[in-house]
Amino acid sequence: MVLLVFLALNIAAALILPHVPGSDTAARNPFRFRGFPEYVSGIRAGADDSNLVLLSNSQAYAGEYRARDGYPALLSQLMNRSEPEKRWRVHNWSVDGITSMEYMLMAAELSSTVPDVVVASIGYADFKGRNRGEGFSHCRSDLPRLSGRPPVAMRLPREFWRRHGKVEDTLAFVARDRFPMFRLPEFAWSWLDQVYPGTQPLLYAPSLYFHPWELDLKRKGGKVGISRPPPKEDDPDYYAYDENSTEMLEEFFLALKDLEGARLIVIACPGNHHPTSRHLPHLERFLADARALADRHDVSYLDWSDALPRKDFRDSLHFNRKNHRRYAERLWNELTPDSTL
Amino acid sequence: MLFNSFTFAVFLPAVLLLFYVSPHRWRRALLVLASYVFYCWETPVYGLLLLASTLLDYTVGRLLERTPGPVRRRVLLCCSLAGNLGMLGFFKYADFFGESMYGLGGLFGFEGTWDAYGFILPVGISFYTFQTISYSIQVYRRQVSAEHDFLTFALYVSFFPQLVAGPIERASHLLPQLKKWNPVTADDIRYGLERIITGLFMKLVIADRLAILVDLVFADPGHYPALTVWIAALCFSGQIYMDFAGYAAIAIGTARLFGVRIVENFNCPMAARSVGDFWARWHITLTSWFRDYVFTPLGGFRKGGARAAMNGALVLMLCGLWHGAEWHFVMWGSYHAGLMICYYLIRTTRRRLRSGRNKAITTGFRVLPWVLLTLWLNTISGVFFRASSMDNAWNMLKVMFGISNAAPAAVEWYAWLFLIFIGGLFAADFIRAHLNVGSWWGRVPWFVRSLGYALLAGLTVLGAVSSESPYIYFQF
Repeated sequence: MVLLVFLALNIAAALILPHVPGSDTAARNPFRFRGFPEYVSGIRAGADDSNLVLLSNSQAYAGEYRARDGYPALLSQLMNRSEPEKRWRVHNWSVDGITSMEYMLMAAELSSTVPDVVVASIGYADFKGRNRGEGFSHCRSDLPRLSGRPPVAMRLPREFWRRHGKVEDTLAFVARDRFPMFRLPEFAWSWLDQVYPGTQPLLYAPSLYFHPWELDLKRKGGKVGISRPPPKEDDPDYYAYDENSTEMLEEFFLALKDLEGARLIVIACPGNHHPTSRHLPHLERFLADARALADRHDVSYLDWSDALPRKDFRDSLHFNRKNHRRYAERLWNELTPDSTL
Repeated sequence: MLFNSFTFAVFLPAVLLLFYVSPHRWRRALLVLASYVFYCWETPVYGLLLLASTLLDYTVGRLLERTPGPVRRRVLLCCSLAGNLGMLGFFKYADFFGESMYGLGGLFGFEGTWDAYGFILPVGISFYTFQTISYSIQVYRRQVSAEHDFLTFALYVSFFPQLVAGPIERASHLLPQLKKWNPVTADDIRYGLERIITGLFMKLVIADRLAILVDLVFADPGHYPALTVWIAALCFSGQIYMDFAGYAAIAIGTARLFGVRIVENFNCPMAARSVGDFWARWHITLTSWFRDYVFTPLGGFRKGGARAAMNGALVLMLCGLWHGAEWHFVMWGSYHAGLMICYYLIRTTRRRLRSGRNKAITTGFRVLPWVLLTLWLNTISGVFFRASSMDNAWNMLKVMFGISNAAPAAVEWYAWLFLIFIGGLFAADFIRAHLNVGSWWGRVPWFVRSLGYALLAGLTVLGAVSSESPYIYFQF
């Protein structure tokens, strides 16, 4: 009887959960965090198609704007306009709140596909040292569900598994991958929270401040204001870039280097770095590391950390529309230096 | 390994499969191996402590059997007690007593600080040391004969369903079942699965959900109005009950899948009609352990009401210390000790006044005021139990009793929602304990029962709180 109920739940989940379009048809993952295995499998080898895969963080995700206003979509327009004989597909594999784990898993996924260009636009916070001891459950996306696919899992280095492959987390993600009923609660609570804001942290996930499924729903009523005490003290080391970060960054460089036949560019993503910011030492260490690792492993690297005007940032990392446009043009110039509009 | 984990969901069926297909003579070895894998999953080195405790009491048991002289027998028993309590004391209490002694010394002008060992407390050490001690005492008292087969004894100490958080079994009950395997019947499997499903629901859906409000309010009680703080304290009573009773249900259900019957640990404690009644319903195996091995040897009820009250109070203070090497646990135990003394005094007086008249009311709606009073007293004790420190406990109590200025805001509507949850829980316990509705659920047709539990399993999948949290009693 229990098995019958579970079977019914799985069938219901398969019917209810929305289909996730591939990254070749959507400008970014419409569900924001979830459904990455479906999303990242969008690359198709076509005679006339060229595939550009963008691995990045919330800067490229550009959740503040419609997908078509983010720089990945603008880049796609520029690429296709300047090379009309080719059809460029820009796959925006960015994750809002990305971790080094997701970069590694994306790289593992990429090695079974045939991209022409891979652009990794990375920031120091994506490789924060505290991620070293975390398991897959720390990820903000379902990308670790890829670990339930043995061919992808085997491409990940042993050290990566030793560090992050906690049995419980891995089993949880395999279960989610194979049995949709385990994704149903997150979907249901995300749905409820977007209709009645505040219900998710109140009754389901007190530590989650994002929706596992981002759905375009009409809000009913006001937000449930959960009364929380004001935060006592900001954790100054949350984004610390340390020796663990160096190890994780090198692992990522090596994984990218293994991609055969793809043009590869690693970019230190632009930021709005205030001269007195307490994060500046972390940034400097990251930039020095990235430069040294790129030289050591012969990877094409660009330091664009100060490339865009600071006034056109919404905060320390995210662009306004002008900077989205600027960054798209800058990337386009880098990728097709001989082209003109 | 946690019962509410995917790892256990893989581990248990694998062990069960091997158990069912293996010949009887291999079953003990298989379960000992499985139990050590279960225990050592997170921190393998602590398996050595489990092994040490097993070896010690196995040896003491064998020697006790061969030793007729009372003095030598007493020495042997003391060896077992010293070994087990020494291990428990060293890993659990060394830092607490060290820091307390230095703190006390500071009051008299001595300077210095305790250099803490900083051990991570071995999971379940308080449970399995008590279980092995009970074996040695039972052999000493000649209530059971010493176990000759080492594997059987090792399984008695390490049997994984009840290893890390009880119920604390007695050798006289568990050992015979491990020596001669009862055939596992379809009824055993059905009952086992029902208890596992119920336990998971209690933990994942109820306890973890109540914890949301509890964690929020205990983190900063001064931020909330007094009534919200009361509701949170009440929710903690429900949380710890559902957490621990949920664990016990899974333990009992898991053991039954192997054909082993484990004793019950809870009997509707939220519906206790007095402090004494509460301790007869809550963590029954620990209470009976203290009753048999501390309270009764100290004199029990044999030496008059005052002595019984003092002994009861001492037991409860020890019980508090057993739960954790923190002052707020000591305070929790002391609070219950105070309640117990008052309870004995009132009970004795009432019995004198009532002599020759009607018996006390023990069931039906008429006990409701007493049940509510007991619940209220326990809610206050829960504050000491849940608090992260004594300061935190005082802050909670100050807001609850209006000593400090609570936040002026009105009670949030969701606090009422949690109150409804906890009210439902209380009502369920009260009906089962006092309204004599009988076991109607046991009389419904099997397919309706099965469907009910299957739906409960589905509800657990859908309604479980997202964060995986360990059982509260694992820390003891």
